[in-house]
Amino acid sequence: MTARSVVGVRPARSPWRIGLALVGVLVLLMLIGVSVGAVSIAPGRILALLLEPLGVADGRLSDAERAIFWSVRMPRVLMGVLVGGALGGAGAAVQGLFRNPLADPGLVGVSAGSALGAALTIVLGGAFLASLPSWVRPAVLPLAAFVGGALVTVLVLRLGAPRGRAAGLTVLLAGVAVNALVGAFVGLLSHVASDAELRDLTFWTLGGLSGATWQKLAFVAPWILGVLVLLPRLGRQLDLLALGDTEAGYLGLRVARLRVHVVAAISISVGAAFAAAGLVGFVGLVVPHLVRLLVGPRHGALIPLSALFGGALLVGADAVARTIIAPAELPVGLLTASLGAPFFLYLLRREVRVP
Amino acid sequence: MTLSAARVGVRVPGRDLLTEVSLEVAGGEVVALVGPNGAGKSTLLRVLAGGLRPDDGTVSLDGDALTSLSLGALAKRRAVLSQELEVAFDFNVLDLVLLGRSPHDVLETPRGRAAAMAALEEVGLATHAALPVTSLSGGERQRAHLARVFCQLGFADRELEGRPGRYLLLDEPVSQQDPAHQLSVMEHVRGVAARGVGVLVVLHDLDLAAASCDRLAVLAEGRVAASGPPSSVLEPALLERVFGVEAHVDRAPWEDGPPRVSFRRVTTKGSSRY
Repeated sequence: MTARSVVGVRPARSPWRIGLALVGVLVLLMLIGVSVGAVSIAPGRILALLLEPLGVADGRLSDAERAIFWSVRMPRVLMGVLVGGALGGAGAAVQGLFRNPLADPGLVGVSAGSALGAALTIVLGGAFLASLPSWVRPAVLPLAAFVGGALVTVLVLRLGAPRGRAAGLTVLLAGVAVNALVGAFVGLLSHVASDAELRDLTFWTLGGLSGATWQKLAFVAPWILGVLVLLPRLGRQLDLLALGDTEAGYLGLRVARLRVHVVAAISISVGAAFAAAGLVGFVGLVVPHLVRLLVGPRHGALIPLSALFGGALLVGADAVARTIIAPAELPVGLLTASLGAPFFLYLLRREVRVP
Repeated sequence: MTLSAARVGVRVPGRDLLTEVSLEVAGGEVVALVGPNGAGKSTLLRVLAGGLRPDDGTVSLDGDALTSLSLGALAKRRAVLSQELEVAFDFNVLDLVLLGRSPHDVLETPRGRAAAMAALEEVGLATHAALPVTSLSGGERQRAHLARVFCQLGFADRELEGRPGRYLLLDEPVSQQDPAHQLSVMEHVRGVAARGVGVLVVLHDLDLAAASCDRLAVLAEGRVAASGPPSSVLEPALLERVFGVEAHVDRAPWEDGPPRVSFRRVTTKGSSRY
């Protein structure tokens, strides 16, 4: 009998404690997020700004400060929390679904579909947009991206899982093929696009939170929050899936149904996130990995904590993107990708290492 | 109370994996499924588990057709240990075993945790509960999965252990065990059967099968070649026909010991090329 001591085991950390710490980090980064930028607002003033609508007057506040805080910074930071949360949570779920720590929400076709929706609007929508009342126009691009993401995801599921008999590998392969096909369409559209349209499309693809408004926030929040409440409930089922389709079935899991539920949920939350902020890359890939190192692989904790971490990461990255080359700003997707890609390569080297 | 396959056939293009196989496992008995490689043992196990729908014949659990039971209902009544299990993420051992409780508990309960710990104790891995599964040796991993399927059958849970009509299907559960652990694993399996569970176990070691099982079913080329108590099944003529090697059967050197089988490659005159 091998008597292996329990010494040297990673201490079992409570998910609640880590969740609390992440909430703390998130709030801190949100405070930094609303205070930094082209015009900085001192942390002390933020409390005053927050209290003012509650009837606590502070004579020192200027109208400019109020406008920047309430119309620009707050929606932007909240959007960062939502978008990062959607991507982090969805990443954790999709990695569990494909039993692969290198899976990304984009695999099921959401990002390609959103890009197609956006490209169609930007390149071919000119005349159509002009015919619409001016207050509708800003909603068209996000809506097209959202619908595009959902439709392409349905296509991937249909092709990869005919009659609900979803096998992980066929969904994955269908995703790869459909992504390539849709990517070719987007390429075609950018080929016929004018210089200005191409620039718009490129910036959208890079992702960014600069266009955040309260209206957009109201548009995406219900989808993202709804999915983030529901996804962790599938945690135990995703845990079972770690044993493989057959074993999970022996334990009573209806694998094909779970697959459809998770993919549908992801296409909604990530589609909404991309609709609001463009293709913010690598958050969904990297964040669940880091959180798994902290709390272990159980999805019931992994999904909500990845959402928290994703929100914090995106708010932090956005604050950096706004200040690093101020008064200009970097697209935040550029920052997450340039940090995420090297990290991905590091993971790859770790994963392929022979145990 | 039986898990039974009646005239089951499974075909893949160009090959019949199972032909007219009938086999019954009753509650409380341990049946060994033996036979050469490619005889269809794992296929039959999957058919009995409900993981593979046969092309012909039916499988029934206590009289109900397997196809009429939901996955959830089935999971409460039979557990399956497959070969070559790989866990996608680095769960710790206790969490792995707790997955076996999922058919019974919607959420994790203290009762479930206690049962999982008891199952780990049973297979000698209680001290490994907090370790990641990947840190275990092959044999330890196999026993951790054994604890998981014990848990699924309601091991150490007074309420669940009373239920009749529970079955356990094991595909080579000792393939990675040293001799001492082979015996102890089979002892645990016997213990589970003593609480009313019907067990079907695929084994390669005929001596181990004879020593620890009530009945042997010999599968050859997708058909049942023989079935019955070890002493009547383990006949040299049958073994030579099924395995294609020379067989000799004697008894263990103690009283009423199980039959013991020795094999030797068939040597015919002039066949040696060396």
